[in-house]
Amino acid sequence: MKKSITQALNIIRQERLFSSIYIIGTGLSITMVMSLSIVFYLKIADIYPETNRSRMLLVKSGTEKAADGGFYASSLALHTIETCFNNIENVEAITAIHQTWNDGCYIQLPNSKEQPPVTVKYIDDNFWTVFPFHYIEGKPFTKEDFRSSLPVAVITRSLANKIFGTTDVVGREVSMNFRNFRICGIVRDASFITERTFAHIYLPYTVLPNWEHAAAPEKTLGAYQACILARTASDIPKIKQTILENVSKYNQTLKAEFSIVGQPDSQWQSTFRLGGNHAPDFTKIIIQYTLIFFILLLVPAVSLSGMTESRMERRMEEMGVRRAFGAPAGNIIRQVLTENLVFTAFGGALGLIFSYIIIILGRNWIMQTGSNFGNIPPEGVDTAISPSMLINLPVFSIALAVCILLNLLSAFIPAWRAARRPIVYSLNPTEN
Amino acid sequence: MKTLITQIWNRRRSNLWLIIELTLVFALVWFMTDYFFVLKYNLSIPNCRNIDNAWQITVGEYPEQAPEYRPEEATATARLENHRRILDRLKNYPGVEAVVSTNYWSLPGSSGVSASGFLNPSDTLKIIYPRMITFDATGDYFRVFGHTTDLGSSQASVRNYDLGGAHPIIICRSVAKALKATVGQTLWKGNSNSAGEWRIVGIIDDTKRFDYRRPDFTVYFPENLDTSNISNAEIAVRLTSSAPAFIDAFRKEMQDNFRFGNYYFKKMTSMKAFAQEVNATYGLPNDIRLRIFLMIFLLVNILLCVTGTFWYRVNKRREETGIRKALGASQLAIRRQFILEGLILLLIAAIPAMLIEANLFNAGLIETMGREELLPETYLPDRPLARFIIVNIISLSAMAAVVAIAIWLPARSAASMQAADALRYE
Repeated sequence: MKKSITQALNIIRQERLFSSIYIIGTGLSITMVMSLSIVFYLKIADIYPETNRSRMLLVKSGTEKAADGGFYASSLALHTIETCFNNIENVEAITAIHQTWNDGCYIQLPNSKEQPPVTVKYIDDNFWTVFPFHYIEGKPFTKEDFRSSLPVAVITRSLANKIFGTTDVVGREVSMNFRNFRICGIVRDASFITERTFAHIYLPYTVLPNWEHAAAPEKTLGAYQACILARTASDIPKIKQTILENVSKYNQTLKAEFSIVGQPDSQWQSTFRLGGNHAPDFTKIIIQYTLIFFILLLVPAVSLSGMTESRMERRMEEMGVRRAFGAPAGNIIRQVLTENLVFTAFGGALGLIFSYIIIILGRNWIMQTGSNFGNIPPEGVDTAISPSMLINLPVFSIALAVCILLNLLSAFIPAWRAARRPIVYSLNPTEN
Repeated sequence: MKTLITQIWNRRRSNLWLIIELTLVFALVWFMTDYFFVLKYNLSIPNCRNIDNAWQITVGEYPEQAPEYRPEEATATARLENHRRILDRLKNYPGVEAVVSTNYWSLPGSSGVSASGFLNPSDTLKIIYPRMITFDATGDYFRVFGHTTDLGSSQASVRNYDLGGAHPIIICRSVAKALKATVGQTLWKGNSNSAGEWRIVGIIDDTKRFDYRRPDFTVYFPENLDTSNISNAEIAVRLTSSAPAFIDAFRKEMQDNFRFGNYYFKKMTSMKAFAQEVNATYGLPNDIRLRIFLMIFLLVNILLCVTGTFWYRVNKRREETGIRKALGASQLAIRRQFILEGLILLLIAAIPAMLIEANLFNAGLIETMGREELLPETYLPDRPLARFIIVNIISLSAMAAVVAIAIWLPARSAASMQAADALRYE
């Protein structure tokens, strides 16, 4: 093992051009694969404030097929959420988030005519349980505040600093579209990466004029999505089962056919659900992305194989001598693979660093990859990437696995062929 | 040439890797190029309007809780009255060329669309579903968004059409062609005349909903503002100047002196920015970006692969190069020989690649962006053979350029070596 590594380092020293081409080739592949992997990691992993993603179930939309043949697709009505998802065993909390078309919210500053745009989320009091925000000052608004439609607001640290220059503002008021809200808490900002929870101002949805509005003939649809937090991830199958039963019971009370189109989704499924009216084909999606990953590895692997093959050709005498002195084919294969892994590791480290650079530079658009619609940060919002989103064990493990896979793909065939070649040919290398 | 083929055959083992790689990348590069070809083609189809100096004016309404709120201004008639005053004020502002109030996603590049079926009573079997653009006829939709008539030769204006009487509509050229309709005829909305007959009062040039798509069927409806449609009305203006100083002054004037009942000024957005934002929401810039990244990735891979392989090859063939030099071959001839060898390999790889492509094409896996079945025009991307050949020529040229560059570097060092050194090598 140690000998192989020393040997590989010697090759790098002796054949600079070849080695750099090889390492750049590996690095390029790892850059692409890791950029894509990190994007999906950020979409799926437990990331502040969505640290409970792994035990969350999501229902974003529903459809209603009315008796007269009319078909409606939209977010859910509040009472649908209550009927179908409330009071389920082993559910820790359930929250409904109002799906506002988030355009046209501006705050009025005390001493300026300028009105900066803000993102507003209309939520209920359970939101704070499902998404454990970190409070810098104050507290979340209470169930009572929520029920009595009080104009209270939780704002983020960045907004507090922007308006007041300090976070010590609990009890003061913020004006949004010329309506005043009393600030009850200041939280650490959520990044636009966690789009579901990203906002500058969080308000109880009961302050909206039509918050109970329900649409479609049987009033099953409305403006809310539901996030259901299970006590543990292992409770999820049971909860899903109960939800489906509840939906079918709910349907019996209706004169229309209501459906949640294959939901509840787990986080990863939810990122692929775009329109409300049909369920995504998850098998197809998985095949599609596996294919993309495979191509990103295969294209460089074939060219790296070619290069490894050339290198093996040059060292045919060495292999021949080793075989002649009784080294089994397995040893030769292992030696070549280990040697090659040194190259791959250099390339892997390079690639990982480059993928970080791509993610950081492309932070405002790269998250759109794999979700066709939306995910564009609103006016004036810069997507924040924290070091812990990139530098963590899962990302490193993925990188390592990708390196090993790429190494196998790019060196196994040449190694196997080198090991299998009759000794006489190896010792007397002529073409083929 | 014969020597080259023999050499390629003799080195078939390492050439095989190269050919597999070239085949794989060729097919993928073709796939990307096809996308860009159709995109570029679509962008080159004229969009017969001009939104350069057009701006959307967004207004807000004070909520009940605001100190500025006046309940007497919140009645339906007061709101309509105030909305009209806004339009008048904008129209009379110096530097405003035209103003319009629209409804139901009628701004150019809007994210939503409102459509309805239309047919010509003389052929009730052919129904098409054009986009419906709804505008308030006291303003001038066509001037605000720079529409043209007679294939771009003259500016369109709402004033040029007789919008009196019941149900006037203006249709675009492709609707006229698809329904074989002319000015003065009537069309049915839906599949009967129950929704009334719609009188064609004008035909204007085709527009595209998005620049990267093809022109689509569009029908323009005058619908005056009233108390029922006012809540969703969207206002746009065309300014005479795009000078930043003028825009800033205009914006400041709006911010400082814009108060009509409970309406206040929120923001003004250039229609170009508006369209770009919608494009971004639909993911087009991201699609393009990803494909460019992949394309670079593929070509760099080829560059590295070919450079790596040929570097070895060139070193191994120093003796041969030395002999050729001794026999009087020029540096250029030696480089040319290596590059030719690479290009032949590329051509060999192109054959299986094209077979793969043809299969993908025939299996219907290659999409044509912006294609709509009912459109009367046939565009170049709809001709499979022509498209296949053009896109393959482009892909082949791109790959050939990369292969040539990739071989140039290692071949140069061999070619520049002295014949005696090369022969004495090792």
